[in-house]
Amino acid sequence: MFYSMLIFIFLIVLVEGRQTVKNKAWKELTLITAITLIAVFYACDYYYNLNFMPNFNYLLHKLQPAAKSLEIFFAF
Amino acid sequence: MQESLYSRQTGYLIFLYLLGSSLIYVPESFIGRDVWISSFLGSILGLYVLHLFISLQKMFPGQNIMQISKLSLGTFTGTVLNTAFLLVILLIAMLNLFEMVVFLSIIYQHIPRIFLMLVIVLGTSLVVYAGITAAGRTADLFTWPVLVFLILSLLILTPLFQFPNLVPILSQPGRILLGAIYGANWPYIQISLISLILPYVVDLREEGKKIYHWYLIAAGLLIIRALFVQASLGPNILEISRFPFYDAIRLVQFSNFQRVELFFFILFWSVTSSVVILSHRSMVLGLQNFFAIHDYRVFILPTGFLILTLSMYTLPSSLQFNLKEFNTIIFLTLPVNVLYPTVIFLAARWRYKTTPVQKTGSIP
Repeated sequence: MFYSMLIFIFLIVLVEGRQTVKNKAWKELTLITAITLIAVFYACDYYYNLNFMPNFNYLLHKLQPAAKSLEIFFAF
Repeated sequence: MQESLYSRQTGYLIFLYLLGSSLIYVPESFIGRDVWISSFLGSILGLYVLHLFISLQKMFPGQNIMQISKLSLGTFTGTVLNTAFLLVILLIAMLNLFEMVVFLSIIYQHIPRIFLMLVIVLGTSLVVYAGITAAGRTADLFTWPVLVFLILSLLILTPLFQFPNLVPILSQPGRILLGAIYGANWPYIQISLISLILPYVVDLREEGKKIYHWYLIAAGLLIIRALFVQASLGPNILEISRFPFYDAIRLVQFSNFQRVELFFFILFWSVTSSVVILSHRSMVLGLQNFFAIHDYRVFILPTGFLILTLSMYTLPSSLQFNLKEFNTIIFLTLPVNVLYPTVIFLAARWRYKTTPVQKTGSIP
């Protein structure tokens, strides 16, 4: 995960970052940075096993009772 | 250069997406019996969603679905619905990448999951960079060989076809309906992803029916596939199998030549990779439309990185996904994918009942 993060950061800076700064497209640059930062936080969280980022899994697990109810409702 | 697609090519993309998304998985297989009936019922809901998106696009030519949403529902409500739709696209993209890697892990057992994901995402990024016109041409090239291979794969299953595995029919109607809901959720209504490339279709009004034709061909093949898989494996194995179609083909043997399933690797690879490519492209286009950015290419690599990390983070294992997450994802993706076009369509019909929409003809 760590190396894939480095590869992506390198590619994003090389391919998109330079061109965006050159074109002075600040809105695009802000969005690219925001998306990359979110991905970096999740990658670090996964790599170091920190569990500080919100996990989408919790929502899915909270819906388990609803899934059970659906299964019972259609058990005929 | 202005990018464009033809209705025929869009139909091919839908065909490849539907096959790639569920050909080997048979998502409704957990019900065991009458899987093909569930698949048939599920396809009707997918057809409804497809029809809504095409109708909306015909009502607002040249506008993307997120602009249509804001025009029909107002800026605030439109933005809220667009956010939900964008999150569902991200979820579908994560799932598609995860499913592809789970399948590839069976064949490439010693390669780490992260490495497979990295190779796939970098590959799809390269394809998305090539543009939408190139995607259409690639679909032109791939569709017919895929169709031939698919028919061939069904034909080689005929020696395993056992009619007793198909009866009794309609013994548990409730289970069939449950399977239909799950079958509709994956893959049929996931074609909502295609709504983001519809503004690029230049002959939608004249040749739009070709999109429906290819949807129906794909749905028909998936129903036949479900029938063959159930008849070959039987309901008990079907219920617990992770990749029923793949398992069925693995049972086929020609004298000493065993691993017949590897002959169809080109089929599995081409259809599943087109699914990951389309979901990555849809996510990129969704971000472009949401933030009103001129060039979508700036999002390709960051989005690929985000999909990869979230997929690794949220879906850590195949076993956990099967036990806990598979049956709950439906509560997020199904309502959004069905209600999003329905609400926009109703609002658009109500708002523009008397006032005709200006035809801008411009591609966002």
